[in-house]
Amino acid sequence: MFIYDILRYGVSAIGRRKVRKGLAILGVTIGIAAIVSLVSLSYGFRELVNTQFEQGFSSDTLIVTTETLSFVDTESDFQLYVNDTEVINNIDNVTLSAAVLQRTCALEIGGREYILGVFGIDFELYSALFPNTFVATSGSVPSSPDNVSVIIGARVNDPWKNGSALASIGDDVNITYTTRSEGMIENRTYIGRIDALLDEIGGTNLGGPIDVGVYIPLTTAQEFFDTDEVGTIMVQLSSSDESVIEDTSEAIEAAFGGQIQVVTPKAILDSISSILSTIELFVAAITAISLIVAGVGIMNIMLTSIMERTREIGILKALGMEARTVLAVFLNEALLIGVIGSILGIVTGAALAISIDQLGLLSSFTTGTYNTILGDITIRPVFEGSVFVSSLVFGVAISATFGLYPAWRAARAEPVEALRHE
Amino acid sequence: MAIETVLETESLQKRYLLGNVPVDALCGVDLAVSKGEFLTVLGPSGSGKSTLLNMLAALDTPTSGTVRIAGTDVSTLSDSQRSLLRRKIGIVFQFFNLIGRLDARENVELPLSISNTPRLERKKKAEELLELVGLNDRMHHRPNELSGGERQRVALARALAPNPQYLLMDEPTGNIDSKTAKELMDLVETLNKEREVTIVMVTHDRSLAKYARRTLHLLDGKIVKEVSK
Ligand SMILES: Nc1ncnc2c1ncn2[C@@H]1O[C@H](COP(=O)(O)OP(=O)(O)OP(=O)(O)O)[C@@H](O)[C@H]1O
Ligand SMILES: [Mg+2]
Repeated sequence: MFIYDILRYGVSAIGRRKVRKGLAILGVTIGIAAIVSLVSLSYGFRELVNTQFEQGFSSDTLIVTTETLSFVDTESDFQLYVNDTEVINNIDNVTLSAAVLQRTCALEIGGREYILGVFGIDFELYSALFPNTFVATSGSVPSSPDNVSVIIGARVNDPWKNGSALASIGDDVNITYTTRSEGMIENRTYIGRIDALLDEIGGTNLGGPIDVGVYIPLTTAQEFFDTDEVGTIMVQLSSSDESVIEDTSEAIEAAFGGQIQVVTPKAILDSISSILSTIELFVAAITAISLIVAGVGIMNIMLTSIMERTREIGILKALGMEARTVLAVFLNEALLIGVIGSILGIVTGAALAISIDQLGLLSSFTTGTYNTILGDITIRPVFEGSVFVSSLVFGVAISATFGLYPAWRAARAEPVEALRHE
Repeated sequence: MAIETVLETESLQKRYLLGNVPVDALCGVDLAVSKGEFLTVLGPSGSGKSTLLNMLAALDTPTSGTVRIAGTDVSTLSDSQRSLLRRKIGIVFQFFNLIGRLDARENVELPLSISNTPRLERKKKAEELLELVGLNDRMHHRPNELSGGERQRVALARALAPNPQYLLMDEPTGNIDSKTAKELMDLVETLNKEREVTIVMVTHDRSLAKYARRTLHLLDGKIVKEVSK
């Protein structure tokens, strides 16, 4: 029998048993879709770690914070103050430290209203800490700013990422802070002036500037928010030696009686990579389960379909079809199911990964807790040709493997036995 | 001219076991069909006609005895060799055995596609044959859209498609009115005479015996009588 005829025969067989074959195809589709979407997202996560975190991430920077990165530890009610930087500056190996006073405010920029994090910082110190990311693309970062100076991140000015600009240098910004004073809710507003637009940073920058950040002078923040309490103090060391980092961290912790956390870049990377390996393990497990489920489904469908078609196999053999051709016919059906299912699965999986990204499911999950320090994290699925190709090969191989046994059984059948089958 | 025996059985026995009860469908059938012969096997229901025909078509293995097709003992052949042998045999089954999801023409084409006949050629051949059996307007009907007699004619067309050297027919007129039956039998007779196709027909219908030169009577798995014209 010509290969072409074998293919056509398989297509006609699949076409006639739409529901059953449809379910077999669905089995493969689900398996492959799970693989493609999970793998693409885990690649995305890995890329996030590799590129976004490491960019603008200097290993000689420490974050001193009252917040805890652990879910288990309870937060202490100890507070850091603006002038605690003086304590830190006196510790060996510390070259400079900068307090970050952050509050959430309502902003009005170019007719658009936002709720965003407003960061009170010393512009000069902050520039020294983040020379690569705290960079103006237009305007300039004033070294001795006046009270109303405001610097905004790239995404604040261009929220749709399409080059539109809401405001330009010199424009006003309405900043409103809602707080309680003596039990009453109070709205405080002041009008700032945009002095600089930050260059796009692109990702997460541990403790550093972010694209959705709004920056005002620390002194303005202290006055406006009416507090000297700060969430974090960024510290730069003279060396990125591990021993220096360790010793200095301990010294800072000791200086505050162990009531604060010193987060080292390495600790964060370690905790992220441990999350990453857990996720990858999880992905591998789900992938394996999906494949087994899909495989058993295919085998089951192939077996029932061959049971049903025993008579047909008898006819084919009676008409002179050789056993190996019968094998090819049924294997071909399994392969067709594998190919169709895998292609649908790849498309579905990619769509799924994209929609997870679009819906922001992962970004809201990741930003929830770590927002203050980590900024805005979005996991974008990363699609690699090799993932698609190997999913296709995998789906087809699974279908072939599980289709082989029933096909072999069918090919072996005695014609007359098969023909008697009702 | 020496008479060449092409289909032959020797002490052919087939025993089925229903639980522990043996059922002898064939008990020692000796039969020889020569090339170009038209043989009819007559017998009542349950006499073993279909069983015998399946043996002659190399579709079944005997309990004992031998079946020789074109001089070769079928039991010595491999599965693949038997498949190739079956391509020389056209068989019309008692219950048609058409493939339900293929239409009439595709069913007729099937044996040709199995033997690697090019597409256009087999399409043409299938159409010719369906026309020959009077089904030119039923080419694209599936078996379940055809009457019993029409299915039987599709089955005949399929059996004839590969130009078989042997044509084995099991109650070929069982579902057909006597007029159509006569047309079919005339067709078969022509094939036998003009193309020297060797024909074995099994039936319970005595009126069909007249087409054959030789008739065997089968009863309870044994040949009880032979009549030659
Ligand atoms: N698979 C089987 N298992 C048990 N007994 C069988 C089997 N096949 C056939 N038989 C028995 O063998 C005998 C011969 O059957 P066969 O089908 O050859 O009869 P037949 O002459 O073709 O009858 P009919 O004219 O009704 O088609 C019958 O008694 C039948 O019951
Ligand atoms: Mg019968």
